[in-house]
Amino acid sequence: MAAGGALRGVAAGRGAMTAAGRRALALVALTALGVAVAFAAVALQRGRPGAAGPLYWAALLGGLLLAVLAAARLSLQSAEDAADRAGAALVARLQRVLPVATVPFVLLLTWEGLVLGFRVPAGIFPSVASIGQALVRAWPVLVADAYLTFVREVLFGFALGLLLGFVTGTLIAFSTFLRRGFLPLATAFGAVPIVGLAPVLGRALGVDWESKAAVGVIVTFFPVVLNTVQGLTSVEPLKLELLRSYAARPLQGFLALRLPNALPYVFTSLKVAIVLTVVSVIVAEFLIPGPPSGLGQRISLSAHRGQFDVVFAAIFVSSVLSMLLYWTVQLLEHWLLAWHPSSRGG
Amino acid sequence: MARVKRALPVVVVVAFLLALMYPVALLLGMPLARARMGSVSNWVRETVAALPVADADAGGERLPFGGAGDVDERLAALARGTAVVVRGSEVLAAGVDLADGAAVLPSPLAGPAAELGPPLAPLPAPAGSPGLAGRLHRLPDAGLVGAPLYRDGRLLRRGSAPALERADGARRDFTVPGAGRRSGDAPAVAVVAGAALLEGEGFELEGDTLVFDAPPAFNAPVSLLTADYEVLDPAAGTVVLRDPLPPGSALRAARSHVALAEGLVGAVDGENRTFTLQHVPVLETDPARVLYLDDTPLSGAAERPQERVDGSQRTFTFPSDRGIVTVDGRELVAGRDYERAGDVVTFAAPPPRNAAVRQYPDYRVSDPNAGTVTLAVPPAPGQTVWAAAYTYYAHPACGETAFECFLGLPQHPVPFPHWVAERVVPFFTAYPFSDTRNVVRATLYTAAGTLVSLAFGTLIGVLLAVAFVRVKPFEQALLPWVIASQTIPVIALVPVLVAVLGNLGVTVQTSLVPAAIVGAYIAFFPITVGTVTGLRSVDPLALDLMKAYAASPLQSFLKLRFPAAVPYLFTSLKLGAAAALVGALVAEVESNNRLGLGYAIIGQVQAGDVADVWILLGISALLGIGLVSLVGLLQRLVAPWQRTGLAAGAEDG
Amino acid sequence: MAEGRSPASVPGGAPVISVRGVSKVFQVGKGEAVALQDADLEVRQGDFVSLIGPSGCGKTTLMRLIADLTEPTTGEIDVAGKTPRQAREDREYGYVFQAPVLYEWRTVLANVTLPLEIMGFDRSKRRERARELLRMVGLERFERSYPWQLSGGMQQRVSIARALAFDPKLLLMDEPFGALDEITREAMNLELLRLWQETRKTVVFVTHSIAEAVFLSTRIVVMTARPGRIREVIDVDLPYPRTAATRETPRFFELTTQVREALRGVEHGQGAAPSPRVAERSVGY
Repeated sequence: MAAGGALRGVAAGRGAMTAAGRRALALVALTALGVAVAFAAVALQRGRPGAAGPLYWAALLGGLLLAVLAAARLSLQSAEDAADRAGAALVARLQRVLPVATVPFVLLLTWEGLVLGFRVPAGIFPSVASIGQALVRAWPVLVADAYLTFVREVLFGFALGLLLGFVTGTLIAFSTFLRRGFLPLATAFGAVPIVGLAPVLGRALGVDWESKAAVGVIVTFFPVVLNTVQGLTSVEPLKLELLRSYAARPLQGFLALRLPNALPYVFTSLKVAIVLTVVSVIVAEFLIPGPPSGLGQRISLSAHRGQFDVVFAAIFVSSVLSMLLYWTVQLLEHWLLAWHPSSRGG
Repeated sequence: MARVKRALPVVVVVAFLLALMYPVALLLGMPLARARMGSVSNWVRETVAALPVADADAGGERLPFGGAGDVDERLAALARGTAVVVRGSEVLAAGVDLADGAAVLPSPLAGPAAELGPPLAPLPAPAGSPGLAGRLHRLPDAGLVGAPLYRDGRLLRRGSAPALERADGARRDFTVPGAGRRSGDAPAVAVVAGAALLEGEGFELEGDTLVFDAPPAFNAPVSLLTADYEVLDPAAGTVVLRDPLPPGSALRAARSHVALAEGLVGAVDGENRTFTLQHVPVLETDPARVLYLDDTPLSGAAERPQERVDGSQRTFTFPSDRGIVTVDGRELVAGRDYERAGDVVTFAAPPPRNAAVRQYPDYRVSDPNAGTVTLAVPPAPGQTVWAAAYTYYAHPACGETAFECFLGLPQHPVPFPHWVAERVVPFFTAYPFSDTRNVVRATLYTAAGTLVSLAFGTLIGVLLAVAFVRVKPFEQALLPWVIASQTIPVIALVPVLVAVLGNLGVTVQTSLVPAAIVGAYIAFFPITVGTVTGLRSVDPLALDLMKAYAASPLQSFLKLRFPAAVPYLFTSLKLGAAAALVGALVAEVESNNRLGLGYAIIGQVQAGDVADVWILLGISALLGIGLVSLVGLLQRLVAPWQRTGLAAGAEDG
Repeated sequence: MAEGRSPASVPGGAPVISVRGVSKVFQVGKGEAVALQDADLEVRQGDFVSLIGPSGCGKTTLMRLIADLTEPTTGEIDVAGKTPRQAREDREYGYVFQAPVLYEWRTVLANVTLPLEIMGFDRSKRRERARELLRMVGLERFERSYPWQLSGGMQQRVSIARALAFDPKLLLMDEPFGALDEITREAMNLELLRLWQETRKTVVFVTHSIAEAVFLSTRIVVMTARPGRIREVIDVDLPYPRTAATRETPRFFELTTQVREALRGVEHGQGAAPSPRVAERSVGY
C-alpha cells in the first residue's frame, strides 16, 4: 500500500507519462486494490463469530484473483511498448519489483483466508495472526533458543568443519595416495543421512549442544574437503609453468597461486554448507532429545503439545536467520572474490 | 593388478579410520569409567576381620597365619609393628612382627592355638546333585556358626563373591567379576538362597558368567564360592566345602582360637587420641566394626540428646556420661565449648536450630576417607588399640582398573569396531523377514517411500522448471520465494503435516504419504534448479538450427531442450535422492511409523547397544549410496550418451 | 641504438644460448613422436632470434628446452654459461607465454610484482620497479585495474612487463601476439622493438608469422616438421631502428620471400642441415 503511494508520487514527479507507464501504474494500483480487498475481508471476518458467508469468500477470492492477474499482466507487459525511455525504465522497474512483492501477500492472505474461512481450529493449523502473536509472546524464549542453535551449534560447527575440511583438503591435494584413498570415501560418507548420524553422535558426545554442533562439523566438512581439493588442484597448467620459470618454491606457489585459485571453489562449498548445517542441526535437535532449548527442540516440543503457532513462529525465526547467514557468506564472497567472474555477473 | 593398486589407498584409509575408533572409544569412554570408579557407592565392600591361626596345633613362639594368596598379601600390607595377637577379646601380644606369614611372639604361647570342637556332621548330597557328596556338612552346635573351621588342624578360609545382577525370577545368567580367574580344575560351587549348586549340576560357568539351568527365585542372593568354604544357612549351621572332605579327615570348628588382628596406627603416649585404620576408605556407620582398647570393646555409636535442638537450648542430656561431643560433625573442646556434669552437657553457646548434636562415648570415625578414628580418652602407654573387624570399600564393583570398568560400562559412547562386527549377524537375524521389525524389511520399506517421494518430487520439479523456462515472469516472481522456502527446515513442518494428515483421516503410522510429501518437498528444489539449468544449457546455435528447420516450439522442446536437460536432471536427481531419503526417514520418525528404518534408528538414540547404532548408520549410508546408484543406473538406461556428472572420486591428474 | 648494423654483428658478442645436438622424443601411446631432432643453434648477446615454422616443427619445444620447462632426450644446452636448470634457478630469463597468464585475483601492478615477490626483492623497491615497467609498456594508468578489465593486447603487454620486471638478460617469447588481430599485432611489434632497443636484452621469439619474424629479428631460424628440425638460419640485415615504413621496403619483401621459400623447402644462402622432405603439416606441438 505504501509502495503504491510512493510509486504514484514518483510518477507524479515525472510529469508527462507515456501510455505504457500509465498502464503499468494502473496495474500496480489494481494489484494493491486486490490485496486490500482480500485483507479487508479477512480483517472484517476476524471480528465476526460463526462461519464465513458467501460475501466473504467472494471478497477474498475476488481480491486475490485480481491481485494475481494484475501482477501477471504487468509482468507480461512488454517493456518495448513504451514510446520513451523514461516510461520503459519505469515499466521495467515495476516489473522487477511488483510480482515478487505480491507473492508473499497473496500466499499469506490465502493462508489466513482459508484458515479463517473454514474456522480451522488452532490445534490443527494456526492462523497468520496467531503466529504473529506467538512470535511476540515467546520472543525472549525464541531468542535464547536461536542463540543456542545458531551461535553455539551452527556457527561453531560450521567454523570447525570449515577449518578441519580446509586443512584436510590441503593435505589430500598434495598427496596422491591420500587423494586416491580419501576422495571416494568422502563421497560415500556424504551420502550418510543425518538421521543415521545423529544417534551415533548423540551417544558419543551426549545429549547436549556438543553432539548437535558435531553434526554441523561433519555436514560442513565433506563439501569443504571436496571443493578444497578440487580448487587446489584445478590450476591452469600455464600458471604453474610461470611459477616454475621463476624457480618458485612449493610454499610460494601454494600461497601465490593455489590458494587464491581455490577460494572460489571453497566459497561455493561454504554456501552449500551453511544452509545444510542449519537444516542438519535442527534435525539433530529433533532426534537427540536433550535439555529443552534450541529452536529444533522448541519446534518439536511445541508440536507435540499442539502449539502450532509457536511452531511456525520458531520456523519463521529459523528461516530468517538462515537467510541472514547465507547472505553473510555471499557478502563475504563478493568482498573477497571481487575479481571472480561470478561476482561480476559473468 | 592395477585395480588392486587403485583400491589399496582406499583400503589403507578405511583401515586407518577403523583403527582410529579404538583410541576415540577409549578417549570418550574412560572418563565415564573413571566416574563410575570414583563413586564410592559403586565399590565392593570387604570386611577385615582378625585372622584365625592357620594351624590349630601350632605352638611356641611362631604362629602361622598365612597360607592363602590374598591373606599373605594382607599380612604383607600390614604396617610394621601393628599386628596384635589375640584370643577372643584378650590381647596376647601387641606390636608383633611378622615373618613369612607367621607372627613372632615375644614369649611362647600358653595354651593351644585353637581349641577345636566336635567334628561336623556330613550331610548327604541332595537328589539330582551327586557331585556335592562330601561337600555339605552341618555344625554340631549352631552357636559355632561364625567360628573358623579347621580340617585336620589346618584352617579353611571362608569366602564367596556376590553376583553383580539381581535375581528377578527370570534371569539365568549372572556375572561374578573375577570368577574366570579361578585356578584349578575343581568344579565351581554356587550358593543360591542358602543352597549349594555344583558346576555342571545346575549351572555352567563361562568366563565370569554363571548360567543357571533354572532361574533363581526373585531376590534370591546369588554368589560364587571363592575360598575353601561358605556358610549356607546360619540358622541350620550348614556349610559347603569347595573340595569334598576326604575320608578320614576331620572337619571341626574352633571353640576358641588365636587370631591376628590389626592394630590401629597411632602413637600411644597418653596424649594422642587419633588413630588410623589400615584399610581405607571405611564406612561411616559400620555395624560390623568392633574396636578394642586392650580387651575392652569400644562403642562407636553416636548418642543423641534427649532435648530438642531448637536454637536456644544449651543443656543436653545423653545416655552416657562421657565421650566426644560434636555439633554438625565438628568436635567440640570440653571446658571451652561446653561443660560436662555427668551425663549433662552444657554448651557455651546454644547450637543452631536443628543442628546435629551427638555424643560418642568411646570413639568416633572422624574421617572415613582416611580411616581416622578419634578416641574419647587417649590410651595410656602400653595399651593397644586394635580392630577385631571392620568394613571398608575395597575396590570398584566394575573392576580393579579403569580399563576393566571401561569394558564393563553398560553404555559406551563409541564402540570398538570389532564389537560392531560381532553384532552384525545377530542384528540382522534378530527377527524373521516376515516380522515388521526385521531390519532388511524396514530398509526396503523406507526405500520404497523414498522412491515414491522422488517420483513426486521429480514431477513437481520438472513441471516447475518448464514453467520457469517458458514463462519468464513466473520465474522472476516465484524463484526468490522458492529459494527462501528452502531455508525452512522441513523437519519442522513434519509434525504439522502429520497432524493435518491425521485429521484428514490418514493413518500416518502405516502410511507412505508423509514420507512421500516430505521427501518430495526436499527433493523438488534441486531437481527444479538442475532442470532449469539443463533446459537453458542449449547452445544458442542449436536453437537457431531448429528455427531454420521451422520446428514448432513443442518440437524444439522435445527434440532439443529436453534431451539437453536430461543429464542435468539426473545429476540433480542424485542430490535429490539423498535428500529425499532424509525426508522419508524424518517423516517416519515423526509419524511414529514402525514399518520403516527411522523407527529402528530412533529407538537406538538413547538406549540399546551402541554397536547397533553404528550398524544402523552403515545401513542408512548404504541405502543412500544404493539409491544414488539406482539413479545412475536409470540414467545409463535412459540417457547413455552422457557420462554421469557426479564423480565418485575425482580423477587424479 | 645506433642505426645500421644489427647488434648481433657486434664482434665478440658472447653466446648466451648454445644448443648442441639436442633432440626431444615423446612417448605417445605405443610409439614415439620426435618433436625435435638434432638441433644446433647459437644465440649471441643482443640477438633477436625468431623461430619460425609450421605446427609440429619443434619451435615451442626448443623454447621450453631452453627454459628448462622440459628436458632434452639427447644433446646439451647452455644458457648464460650454465645448464638450463641452473639458469632457471638463477632466474636468467623471463618467459612470455602464448596467453597472458595473468592471475585474475591480482591487480595489474600486483601481477607485475609477482616475480619480484617470489624472488625476494626488497618490498619497497618492488612497486617502484613495477611502475617503471608499466610506464615502459604504456600502462601506467592501469596499475590498479584487474586483468579482466583490459583488452587482450593490454594484458599481453602486462605479461611482457612482468617478464622484464626482474631484469633478466634473456627474454623467451612464445608467440606472444598470436591471439591478437593483425593491426594490434603490428603496433605491438613496434612496441617490442622499442623495448628491446631500450633494454638491450637478448630475445628468442617464436612466431607463425613470416612478416613478424622478418620485421623483428636479427636472425631467423627456419624449422620444419616431422621430424622437427632446424632447416636454415637466415640473417636479417634490415637496418635499425625499424619502423612501419620498413615493411614496405623491397629488402623486406625479399627477405619474407626468402623465408617463405625456406619454409617450403627451397634452399637459400647460409643454411643449416637441409631437409630431404618438404615440411608437412602435422597436428601437435
